[in-house]
Amino acid sequence: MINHNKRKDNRDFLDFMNSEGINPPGELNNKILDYVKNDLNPSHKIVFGKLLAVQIFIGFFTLIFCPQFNLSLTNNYELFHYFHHKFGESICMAICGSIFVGSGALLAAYMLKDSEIRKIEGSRFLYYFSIVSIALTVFLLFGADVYLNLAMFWFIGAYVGGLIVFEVNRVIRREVFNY
Amino acid sequence: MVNPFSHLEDDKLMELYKKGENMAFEVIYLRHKNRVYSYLHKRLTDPALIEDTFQSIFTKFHNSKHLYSSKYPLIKWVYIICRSELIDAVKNNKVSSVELKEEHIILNPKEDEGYINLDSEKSLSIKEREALKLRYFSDEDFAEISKKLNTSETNSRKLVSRGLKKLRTKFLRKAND
Repeated sequence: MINHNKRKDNRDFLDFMNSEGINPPGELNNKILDYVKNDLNPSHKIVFGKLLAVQIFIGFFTLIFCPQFNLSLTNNYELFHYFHHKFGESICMAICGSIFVGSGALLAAYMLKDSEIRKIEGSRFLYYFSIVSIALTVFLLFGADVYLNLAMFWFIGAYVGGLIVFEVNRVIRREVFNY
Repeated sequence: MVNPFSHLEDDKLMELYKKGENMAFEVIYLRHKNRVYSYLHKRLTDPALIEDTFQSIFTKFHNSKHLYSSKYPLIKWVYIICRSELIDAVKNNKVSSVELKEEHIILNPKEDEGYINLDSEKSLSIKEREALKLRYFSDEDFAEISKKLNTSETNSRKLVSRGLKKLRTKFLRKAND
């Protein structure tokens, strides 16, 4: 039975190899070629929208355990106090920023399509500058205690942290997970 | 405009395609589309279903391009996707039988050369002819053949073997003449 199935498969493959002569309709060709072309080269608007959506989702989640500018979802300040005592105020703000944006970058590096990752890669500095700026603006709008000197450290931490986490995980995704 | 990658082998094209090169995909597509479409055309009758399946094959090919390994020829990869999508299409659309259209075999000169019309083989008995058709045209196993011919499995084996022997003798004689 196994041999019979194997023979059947071989015959089917040979038949596939010998199948030629019927052309798919031109419209169908264009549809497939356009689909792949657009998918391989997505627009910046869509890619940024997705990156922002991932950041909003995961950023909101991190507010459960890591408050930003005294803005917390659970009033859980343990992690904040730990960093504050261990590294001081400025470094603590930088770490908080990197946790906030870095966690979004981590998820985005695995969730987005490879073509989208490549698109971000091409303009990564601008992408993360925008993400961090938007995050800071949203905190201000939500009434967080944003002071210029601490916000600067937060901004640098979030920007550098986001870029590093994204870059490292992009490489891991390509080299280890091969997709 | 001439595609700069049109001279490249499939595995090189896949490398470029994996890196996001759309023109490499275009060459791969143009190289294999007729084969895939003709294969589907032989097995499905509904033109809309053929187009849908064809489209889903290349969508799957595109979405799983990172799974391709250059250890194997690309054509095999295309075939595996093609076959799995065909099976899905048949299952999902409740196609009762996958049909092999005869006109495609007869119109194709390569295949026409090896085509044997069993109905015109007078040396075969009706049962031998039926058994050979079931065995080689419908890919049935001996248990299924014996059921359809209402005979034992041993007898169905004998019918196929006798039929083959007769055909072999006839063709050998023809070749010697």
